Amino acid sequence: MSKRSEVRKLSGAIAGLMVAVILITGSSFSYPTLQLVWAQAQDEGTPLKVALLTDALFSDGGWGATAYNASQALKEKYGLELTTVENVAIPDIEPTLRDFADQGNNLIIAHGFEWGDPALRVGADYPVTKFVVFTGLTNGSNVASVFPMQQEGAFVLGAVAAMMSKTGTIGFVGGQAYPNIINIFEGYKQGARYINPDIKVIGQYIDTFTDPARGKEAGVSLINNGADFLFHVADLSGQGVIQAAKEKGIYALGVVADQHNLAPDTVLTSFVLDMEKAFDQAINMVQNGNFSGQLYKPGLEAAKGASGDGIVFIAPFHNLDSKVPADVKQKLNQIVQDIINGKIVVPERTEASS
Amino acid sequence: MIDFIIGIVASGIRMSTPALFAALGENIAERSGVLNLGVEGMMLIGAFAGFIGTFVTGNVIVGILFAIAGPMVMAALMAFLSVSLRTNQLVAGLAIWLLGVGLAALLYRLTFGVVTVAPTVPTIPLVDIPFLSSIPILGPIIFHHDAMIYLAFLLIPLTHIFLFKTSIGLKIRTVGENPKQADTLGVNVNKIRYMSVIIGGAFAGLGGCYIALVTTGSFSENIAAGQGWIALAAVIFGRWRPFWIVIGALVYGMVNATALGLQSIGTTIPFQFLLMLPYLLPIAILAVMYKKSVAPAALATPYKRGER
Repeated sequence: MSKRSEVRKLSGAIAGLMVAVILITGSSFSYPTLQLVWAQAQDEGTPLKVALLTDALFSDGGWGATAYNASQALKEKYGLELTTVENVAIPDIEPTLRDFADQGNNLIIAHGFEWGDPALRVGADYPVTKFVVFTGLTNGSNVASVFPMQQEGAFVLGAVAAMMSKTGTIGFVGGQAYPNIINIFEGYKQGARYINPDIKVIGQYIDTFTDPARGKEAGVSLINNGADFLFHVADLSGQGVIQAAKEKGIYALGVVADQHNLAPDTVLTSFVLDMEKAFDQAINMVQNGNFSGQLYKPGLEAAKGASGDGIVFIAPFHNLDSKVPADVKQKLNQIVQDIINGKIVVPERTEASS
Repeated sequence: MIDFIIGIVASGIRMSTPALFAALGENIAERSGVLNLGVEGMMLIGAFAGFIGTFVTGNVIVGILFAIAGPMVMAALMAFLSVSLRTNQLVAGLAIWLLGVGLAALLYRLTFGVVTVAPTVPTIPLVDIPFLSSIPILGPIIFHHDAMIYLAFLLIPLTHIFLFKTSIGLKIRTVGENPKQADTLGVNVNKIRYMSVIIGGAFAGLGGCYIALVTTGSFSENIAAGQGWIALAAVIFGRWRPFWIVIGALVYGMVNATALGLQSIGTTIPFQFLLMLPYLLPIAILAVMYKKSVAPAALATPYKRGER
């Protein structure tokens, strides 16, 4: 044997050893750990990477629009690296979540109940990424849901409608029979019956959030059947509902955002979700490293920015203020206070009752 | 009860109007032998153009003219693809549809950006026809509508006369049945087809702008919500005859209105089932009618001179 072949053997052994070392460390050094190291490296000085994803449109004047505005305000406040995506098709929800988790976002705000289950599935594969589902009902170690007590806001609107209805019939239009939307209408019914046990509450589900023409015909149908208040939870379709109320000269009630601007003489009031507050809390948790995958249920607050955890509040009457009798306003404030104090408990109901 | 039914029928007429406009126009295109699957896209362009025209000028007539012109350009493109280039009409039509969906949304965003309060225009008001609107039952059903519905009523016999009582109508039908023979007789096949498709575009535009200018007073993405496809079904349902097409469109509108009406009075039928009916019923009827339907013989077949 020559010296040369010995060298070759030795170098072969070293190479083999190196491969073995790489294989062993590599396998124990699993992907999530790498992600963790990388995420920690990101924490130092680099801005938080946040994505807001929704199947709604940002131009819907309510649900999507409020989320968009909230995210833009927070982008400024925290200097976030923010991506916003709208109009995600329902079947694309899971792949979209996966894409954005892959891109190394620290926090993904999934905007809508229907994002809950996909977020859980994707969250299991990306343990470092944090997910917050707005109006979701699912949670896990890195997935939190915010399920605002919208039924409390709707309760107040139902009470206002019942106090001011002349026909004794009030209506609602829903985009889909999602649990969170059923919950809102149940609250509306309970509020109306709290004032007048005999009031008739009639409703429609129209199976679309993006068809204002259908929303309008649904509204007209309710008006033809005696409703003189229309409450909608239907995003863009809801603009058609408000349009129906406007043309027939009755009041409409807005949802999620203060929808006064959509029809100033028609939208009496709205219940508003302070999404900025909710998103702010989520970002805060991620930034301070104390994210907790809980199901948060913030309730009613007296007004925007009031202290406490509430993110649901009732919008002012604006130019219609003079049309609302003083005793109605007084009763309204009383109900809001009673709900906040727990004197009135509006149970959460995610299945429709009669 | 009678008010309830009147309400449903009147609502059904309103809900079938966009598809009715589009179907009357599509019928003319199909009669000339061009199957234009892009109706839905043209309706969207019509809705956007009608809205922007009214929004900018403040004049609804200008808006409607915009709504007619925009889809006519799209239709000219469809005719160019399918008549001059002789591409597969199904593919060209689908391309036009997708182009319309995307282009309308894009132009809206370019004009207004991401707005949280959608810009609106006043909707076209109701016009009661004097005397006629006070007839019991029929009055509120037929003579208590907006001007565009009366225009739709008017266009039904007009398209019938156009297709069956004028020489140009005869040319259109001949080109759709036997383009070669028409060519031999000195009819300019391509010219007739271009014209028919472009007329179809104008009608689709009227249908689209009905939604934006009468129903909602605003534009939103995908506002036509599939009514262009209902129009295509109505043409087949109506066996390429205007008066029958009306029935096709009305069936869709009436079932839709009934579904909404039944929910209003409270029913134990699941709403999902009711909302499926407007789509299920046309499919069922088409399945039964299909054998009887007599499509123009040269429908969806490009014509090339000298080819057998």
